[in-house]
Amino acid sequence: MEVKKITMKKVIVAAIVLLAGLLITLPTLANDLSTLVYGADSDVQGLSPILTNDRVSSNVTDQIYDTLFVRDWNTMEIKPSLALSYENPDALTWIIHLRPNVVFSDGTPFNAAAVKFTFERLLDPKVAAPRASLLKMVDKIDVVNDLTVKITTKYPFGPFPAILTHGNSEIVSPTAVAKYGNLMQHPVGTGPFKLEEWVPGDHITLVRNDLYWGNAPKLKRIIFRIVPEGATRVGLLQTGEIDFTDLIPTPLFATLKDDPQVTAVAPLGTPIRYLSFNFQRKVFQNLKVRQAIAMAIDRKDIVTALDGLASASKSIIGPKVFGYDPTAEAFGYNHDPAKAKALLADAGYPDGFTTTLWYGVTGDYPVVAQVIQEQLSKIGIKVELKGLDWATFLSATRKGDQDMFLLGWTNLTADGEELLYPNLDSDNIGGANRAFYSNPITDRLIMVARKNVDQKVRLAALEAANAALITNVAWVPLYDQLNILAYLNDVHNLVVNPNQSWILKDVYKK
Amino acid sequence: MTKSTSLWQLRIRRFRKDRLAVVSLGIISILLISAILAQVIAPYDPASQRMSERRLPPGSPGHLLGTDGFGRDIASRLVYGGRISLMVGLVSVGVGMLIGMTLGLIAGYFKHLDNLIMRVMDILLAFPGVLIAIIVVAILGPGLYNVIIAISVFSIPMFARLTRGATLSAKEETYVLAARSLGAPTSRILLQHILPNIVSPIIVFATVRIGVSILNAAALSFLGIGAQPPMPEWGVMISEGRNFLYTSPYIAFVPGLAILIVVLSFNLLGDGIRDALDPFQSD
Repeated sequence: MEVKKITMKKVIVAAIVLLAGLLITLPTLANDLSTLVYGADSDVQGLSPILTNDRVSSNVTDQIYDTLFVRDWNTMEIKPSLALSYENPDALTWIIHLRPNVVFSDGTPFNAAAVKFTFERLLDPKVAAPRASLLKMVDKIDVVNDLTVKITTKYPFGPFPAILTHGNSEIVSPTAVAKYGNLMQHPVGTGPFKLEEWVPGDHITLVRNDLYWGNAPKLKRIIFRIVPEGATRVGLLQTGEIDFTDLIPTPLFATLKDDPQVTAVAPLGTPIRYLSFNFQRKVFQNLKVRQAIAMAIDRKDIVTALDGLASASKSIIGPKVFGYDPTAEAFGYNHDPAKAKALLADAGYPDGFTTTLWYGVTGDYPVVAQVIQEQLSKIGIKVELKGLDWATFLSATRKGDQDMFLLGWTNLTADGEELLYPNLDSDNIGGANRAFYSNPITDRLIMVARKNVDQKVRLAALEAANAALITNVAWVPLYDQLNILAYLNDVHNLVVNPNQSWILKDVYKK
Repeated sequence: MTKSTSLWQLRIRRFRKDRLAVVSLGIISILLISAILAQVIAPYDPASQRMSERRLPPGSPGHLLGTDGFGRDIASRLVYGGRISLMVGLVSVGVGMLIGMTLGLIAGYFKHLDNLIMRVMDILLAFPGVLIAIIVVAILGPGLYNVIIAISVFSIPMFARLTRGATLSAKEETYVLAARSLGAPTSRILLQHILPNIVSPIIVFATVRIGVSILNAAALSFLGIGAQPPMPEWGVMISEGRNFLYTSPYIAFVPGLAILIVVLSFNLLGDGIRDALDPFQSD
């Protein structure tokens, strides 16, 4: 009898635990119309726009903080956000007029002092912000009055307004920084949402910010659920456990297209994928060798291997980026293995040579690397693949361990300067210029595009630099990425921008 | 009087009664032959891509097991992959066995070295095998040969422990005492008297270990730290087929099944050999 009683108790306790578990999980289900659940491929580094510089973190911080300006991706124009307008009375001065009656989610008023505080913090060497270089042209920041900031640059800098649309220039609450030291765990911004909880490795929940200055967001909550495996995210989407996701493995895109419950889109984006060389290696200093490699590449096969989800391109600056000119494609090299072989023989390598191709084992890179290996073998170049984990790859290529490498660049500001200067200007050798490429002519053109405020002159300089870099095979551009995004049909107003970011404040479920 | 049977004849007879073990031996023999004759058997170069023939299902003309995401023939890759798996299994177990057995013999026979050697082995055993392998690969860099080294390293303590135990009991046997009292040198005692008498459990363990090593190598390659593409290693093939699980599941399923069959065969073969060599097994 005694034994039976204990068993009954155990059953009751188990039932209560189960019921409690169910009650806890219920509100997180995706079919709650005021909650949007996103399937993220990894956890964030942190929640401060000053101290992080990666896509996953900015997906979250973009909902919490605002920039001074935003880009209208339809017209490509710079539009007001926290700032209402700017003027530049001379080439070195930018006067920015701020939006009145804005407060941070902790109640701190947003004003010129907050802008000065944020930018000076981004530039402070003691803070060691990963993207401090974004504002490296800034000389000083003055508070003119509560709603006016005057920024003086060291030299004329054309893309300045574009930089103020970049996620790393989002404005933070000075009182919150004073209170917490940094905002990695305690984000406080002016944006439509604020942090409710962050369970590292599991999920982040944002809740509507009732003090938001714009139209109130329709969603009450956004949950960023961390699910590293792409195929698993697709499964969760199809069963309705998450509302939307991106970075979907290309073979699964067709599956989602066929699913009547799901909308899957793949608009053209700003990210470019390319093959490049280590110009410290003698063999790649030979233009004919580089031309031969460019002609050995068949972009059609690469696009096929990616299930058609890429847009083949011969231009370094892509169609969604300021500085693109459709005629640039004509400077590129077409697939011509016979001519490639002849060029290689001409360069003194009739039997080809052996080299290495380095890439990070993530996303499309392992697939593209294998296609290129096969294509180069057809002109006699024997390629050994070096697939490394992402962090190791980035540091190894920065040091110059690679012969050839495969990489991409997501242009966040959609200004060609933000592509050519970091990656191909000799100023940045040892930094993002992993090709160790140095060319006085293109350096000069890039400088014109940087240090000029006349947008027409800048456009012409970028177009010329682009054409010269393509002809000289600084990179072999492969394709522009399509920004794949999939969501349940009851999600509305969800738009993926060409720079891979998305805006959630106008999203609703019905 | 019946014809006398030698011990080995008895053992072989016993082994042949174990049907599962015989089938396993057959499968492993097929794997061995196809690995040696890969160039002759495989209809295609395992690395050559044909973009017009991507993801053909098994049974397509010319492609018995279909093609993968690059239009490469899966059957050809499977055959060449078998060569790699077998090589990894044999070499890593061979090296692990050689070093482990030597250390085990020394530890078991020389009392003053026992503690030192076996505590080092205990430390190695305290780590999960795959973790040791990841540490080795982190130091040496990814690649198939480094994986072989890694798997050898974590095989060593197991062989050492097994050999030491057997040596400890063998050295008290009268034939060893006899050899010693006749003034035989230590090397002769170890290699000619002790080793042949303790080799059976080591062979059994090595057989099972080959299967485990193949599985571990495939796991490390699946994680991207083992064999590098376009090498048709089975773990790499599964990893590359992962994204096609919904649309073309056979790309990952075929090499997965191959690993299952081969590892199971080595395990069953090991069991069969153990039963055949066991003196207490009834005939």
